[in-house]
Amino acid sequence: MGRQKGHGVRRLLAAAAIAAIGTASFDTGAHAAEKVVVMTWGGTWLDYMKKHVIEPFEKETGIEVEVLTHQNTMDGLAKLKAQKADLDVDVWATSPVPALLAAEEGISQPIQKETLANAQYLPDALVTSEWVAWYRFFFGVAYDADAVPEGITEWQDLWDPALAGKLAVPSADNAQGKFVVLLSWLGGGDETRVDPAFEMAQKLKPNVATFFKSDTDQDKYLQSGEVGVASFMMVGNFLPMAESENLKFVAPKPYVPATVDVFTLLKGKNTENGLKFIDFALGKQAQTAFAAEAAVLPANREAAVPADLAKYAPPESQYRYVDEKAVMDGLQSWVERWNREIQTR
Amino acid sequence: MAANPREEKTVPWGAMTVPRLRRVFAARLSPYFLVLPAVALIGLLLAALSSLFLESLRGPDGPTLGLAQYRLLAADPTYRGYFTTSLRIAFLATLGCLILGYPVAYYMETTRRTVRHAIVMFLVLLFFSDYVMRVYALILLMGNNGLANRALLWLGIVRSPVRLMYSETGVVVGLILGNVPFMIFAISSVLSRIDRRLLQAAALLGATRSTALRRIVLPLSMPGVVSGSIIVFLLSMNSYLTPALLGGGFVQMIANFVYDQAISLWNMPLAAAAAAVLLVTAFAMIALLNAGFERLGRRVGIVDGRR
Repeated sequence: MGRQKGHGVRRLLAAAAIAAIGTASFDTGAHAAEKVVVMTWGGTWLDYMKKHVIEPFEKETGIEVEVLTHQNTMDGLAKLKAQKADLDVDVWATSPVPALLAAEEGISQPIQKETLANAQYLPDALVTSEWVAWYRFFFGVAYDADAVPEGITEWQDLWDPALAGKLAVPSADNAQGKFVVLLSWLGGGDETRVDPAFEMAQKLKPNVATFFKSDTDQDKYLQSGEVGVASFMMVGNFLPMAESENLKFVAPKPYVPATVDVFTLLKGKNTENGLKFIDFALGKQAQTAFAAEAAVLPANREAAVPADLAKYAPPESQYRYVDEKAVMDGLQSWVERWNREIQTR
Repeated sequence: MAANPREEKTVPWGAMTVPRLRRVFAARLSPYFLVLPAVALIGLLLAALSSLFLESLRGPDGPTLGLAQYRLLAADPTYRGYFTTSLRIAFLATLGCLILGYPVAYYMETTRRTVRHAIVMFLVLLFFSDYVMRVYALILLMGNNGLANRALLWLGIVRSPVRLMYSETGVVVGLILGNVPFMIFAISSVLSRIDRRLLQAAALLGATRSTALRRIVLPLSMPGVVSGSIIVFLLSMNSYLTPALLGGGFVQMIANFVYDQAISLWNMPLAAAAAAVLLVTAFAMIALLNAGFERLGRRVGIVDGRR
């Protein structure tokens, strides 16, 4: 019995040795072992990304893409922070503010513009050292033409007394404070001086039926007739409702708040492949295909704007991008103040 | 060990046979093994609660521990407002559930079996339906184009839809309709155990039905009323979804405040402090209700005075 046991152990050791040699050669030699780890949103977004970015990228480069998902960007940041000591994520698809927070936490690394061949096709404002834009989207007003027979053409129309109790308005933290920024612009302020935003919001209160936290709530309020006006809707969220003849979407004057979702390069284990992945996603082909399916504006100027979206999109000059850095510094105090002063009866 | 004469009589460990050792181990240790899952569960819960509590002691800046967050909660009238609003709403919702739920429970226990079964089926269905769905159903009922408004318009009572939601009243109504099954079940389970002969005796002694209800059924059903109230009160006090969907953003309860602080603003210490206060308030309410019940119970004779 003793002999047999000894035999078994020896055989096990031999097997382990072979396995170890096998993995070692696999690691150093074979091209197939190359990978990049990407964290992104789940659900349909991931489906579109798989179809138009990940799979074509794998096919073209032979680099395997390992996908992790976050519930929302802040949840993603918490996950990344937790594994900071041994980070194994290379690219994070997120929003600008979380990307800036990641840089502050020291889990991301600066991106040199020259390392991305496709970065030259992006507007200058959309390439920073902390993040590179993946796609753009803008906010407008969706309304029920029955409830608002006069229609809406300017943001100022939201303050019309005829719309008393008809508006769904975002909470301050929705879309990372973009509505507060818009109100500030309209009142003559900006991202660093937001007092005008709160004055504007006070005046808007008689028209507010309900505040909403999530975009889906806003969609439901509008579709069920609970409100006549959805004051701050991403154009992509409107497209599925566009079938209904009573609902209209407008990008009101004087400017349209626009923002981006971005890629940020983390301090992962496959930085080179991470850069290749980002560059591929910024390419004309991937940009056109993804934008068409996800109903967003491509970040790459060479890529085509989706046809069903183009009819709602304002001219380029009307877009105004949010100063995300200033938002990051101010958001917390805005939300506090908003809850205190605005979301009370 | 040798000083103890009883110990010397037992077989020394070394002299035990293997099967015997196994038996002794099984007999002595199995209770400890069996209790392990419970210990793990309670340990996990306590660990989570204590980490929450520890988090709440962190100051706004730096690792120094203190009561700064609690002082902030107590000093700020807006923060205090979240607690008073929650208490008020929870109290009104509990009262509403009691007023609506008691007659239903009583009816269930006094009516025909088939009707009772139908009501139970309906309540069970409510239980199994998703809470979010129930709240959305309320929106369909109370909304601008909802059933209630259509009826009012049709009857000519109002000219344009009235706002039934997006206010504190809307939240209270939502919580009542969402939680009333808990109250009904709690009360009816107690009612069904009341000895029918007591009612017959009361009738024989000349008590009217209302006297019997007031002096026998009502006092004897108090345990159900109390447990139902505790459940409904706690559920209402902790509710997040109902104020979020039916309050229109104008009604902020503690859970909404905790969510905002923890998720939107990343202010974990303040969120933890608010959650801790909520927990303590909940325990205090349970203790208060229980104490009140004991006193009442002793007076009507359903709780033993010596307890």
